[in-house]
Amino acid sequence: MKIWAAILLIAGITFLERASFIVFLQRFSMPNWMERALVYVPASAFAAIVAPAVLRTDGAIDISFFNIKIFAALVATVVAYRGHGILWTIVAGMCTLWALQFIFG
Amino acid sequence: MFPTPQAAFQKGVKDISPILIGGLPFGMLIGVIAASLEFTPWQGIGNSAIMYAGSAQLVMLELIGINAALWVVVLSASIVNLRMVIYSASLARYVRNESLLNRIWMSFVMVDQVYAFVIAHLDQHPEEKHIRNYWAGLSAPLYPMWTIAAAIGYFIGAVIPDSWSLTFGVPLMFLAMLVPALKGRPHYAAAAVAVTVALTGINLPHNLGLVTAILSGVATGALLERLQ
Repeated sequence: MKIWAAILLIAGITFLERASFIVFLQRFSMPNWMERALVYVPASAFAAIVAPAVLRTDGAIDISFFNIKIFAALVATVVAYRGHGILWTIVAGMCTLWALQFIFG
Repeated sequence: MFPTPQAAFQKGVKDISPILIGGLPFGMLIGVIAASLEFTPWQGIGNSAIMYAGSAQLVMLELIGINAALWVVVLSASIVNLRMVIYSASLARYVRNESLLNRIWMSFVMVDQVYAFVIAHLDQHPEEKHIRNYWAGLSAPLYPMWTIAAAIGYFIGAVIPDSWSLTFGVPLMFLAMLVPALKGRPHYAAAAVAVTVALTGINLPHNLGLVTAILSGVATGALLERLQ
């Protein structure tokens, strides 16, 4: 039930976001300050999702050698910075994670 | 400029074709993770068909995975998609003369990749008469691909054991999207503040840390840009 509610609500709001100026506010333009601020949504959002997902283990932040997700994320970051694209970044990160899981059981 | 509506449609299909192959693994990843979070098949495939928004779908999966409250899931995913408002604002004047029905479907299929191709073409040809057909040509293969990919992923994900930690693909994908999004100093500052707030607020009720972190990052970026 909660999953369907999430899917339908997000889908509805996403449509309204896409349709905002194309369908509803055709004769208006976006205030300049808003356009400038929204440019920072992707960097802020992606960073805010990644950090806790990598550092959290069993509900608490774990910055130690025992958190192998950190090493997997570091390898993935290097691959991403070298411009290898999304697919290779994920492949590199997952393979590092699996290798470390295998080694440290 | 496209000579005919047919030519515009065909050019759209041609332009999007490399992305069909490149996008397949990501569409599948969404299905795989939905299966590992025990979505039903309809939920796992339907969220791609109804939402048609990769990053919002991934945010939803990540937050449902850590059992966040419904309104936090919805709010976070919607904030991630706020960039669509910028897209909408920048394209509105080119589609002013389209019928309401056309503008509705054109909005629905306006994903990042379609926007990128459409705005690049309009940049070169602001007087384009057949932009709707180009838009349709880009979307006609992309939308079914996204849904089919989720279906394939769902059935693969249903047989892969949890010990493979496939849900770690979500943060890795966001990491891969984060790096090119860091376009300058204000972007780095926005990301750094967002990370700090997200980690500090990790135990905020309802997982509100994410929303707070995004808003703090956006405010930081905008403020720094103004000061520069």
